[in-house]
Amino acid sequence: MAMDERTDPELVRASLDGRQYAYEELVQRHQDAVFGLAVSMTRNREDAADMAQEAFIRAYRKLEQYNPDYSFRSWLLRICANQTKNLFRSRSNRRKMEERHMVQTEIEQDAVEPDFRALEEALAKLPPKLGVPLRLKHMEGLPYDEVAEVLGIGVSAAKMRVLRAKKLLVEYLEP
Amino acid sequence: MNAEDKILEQLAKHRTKAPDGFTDRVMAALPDRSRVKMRERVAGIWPSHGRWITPAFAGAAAMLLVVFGLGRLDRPVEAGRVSFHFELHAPGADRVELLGTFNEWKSGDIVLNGPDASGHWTAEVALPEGRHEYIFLVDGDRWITDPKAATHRPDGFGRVNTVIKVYDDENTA
Repeated sequence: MAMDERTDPELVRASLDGRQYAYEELVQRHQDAVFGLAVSMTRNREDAADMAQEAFIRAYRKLEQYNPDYSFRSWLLRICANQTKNLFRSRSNRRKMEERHMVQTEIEQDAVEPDFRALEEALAKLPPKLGVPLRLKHMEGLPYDEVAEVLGIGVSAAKMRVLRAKKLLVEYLEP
Repeated sequence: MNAEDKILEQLAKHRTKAPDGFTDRVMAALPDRSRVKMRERVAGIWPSHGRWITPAFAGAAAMLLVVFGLGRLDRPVEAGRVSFHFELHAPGADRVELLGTFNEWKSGDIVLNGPDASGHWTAEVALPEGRHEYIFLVDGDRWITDPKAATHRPDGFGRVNTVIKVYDDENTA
């Protein structure tokens, strides 16, 4: 069987049996989704790359705990969301201590395909609270219950945030 | 098709691409699976279903012997934590503190020992496994980025933090 045809739980099993190339396939398969989530939350590509990398390392260490009845991608995204929240909590404490304002780094436009620049710019304008659930729902195709689980919020809150995000996005993109 | 439908269609097609070489970096940073498995095996030694009483008492007795028999016990590093050595050369300083994600950037929480004869301040800190950022605070008013570390990040406050990733089988700066 070709590697690409294996399901995520099969690749997890192979990784647990010590086959590193199986985990490499999982990283390749989900890196854009995890990195995209981290970008939405941090709005900074360097921090996002760190958070995404850390999510994959943590997942690898906890691979035994993964339940194959559930989506591997949602499990990964939840790990990434949790540690990124921790980063913000930590920085928030630092900010309070220093009584300074955080400088936000703009998303590097070189990293975006030209056809999607306007969309990426509009996404970057959305507050993370709205942009993240929108990304999970409409870019990653997660059902609302999984969006809610990844972000640790209720399903109705997830729906409401996606709705508000869509309205804002239309405002930003309409000529 | 209305504007919202068009946007949703675009969203479904769009991917935010991970940086080039991302997979290679992740794979190079993964811990050795055999060591992860060994830790899991050690964790699995502890018996379940109520058969823990005898080993628990045996373990407690052994611990008492160590504590009272030998007279001293070095403080162990908690499970899931890694002892990490911090060091700063600041010969003229009166006080050097360490602030980071691991202590919620609290001032006064971790004070380095020193200076030694060559002006070095040091601290051994048991860190939770994972990624951390830190910076040194010298004499309460000078923020110093660790000059020995390899990875740094702007902290958003005009200074630069050092980034480390620690695991039980490696200390990677």
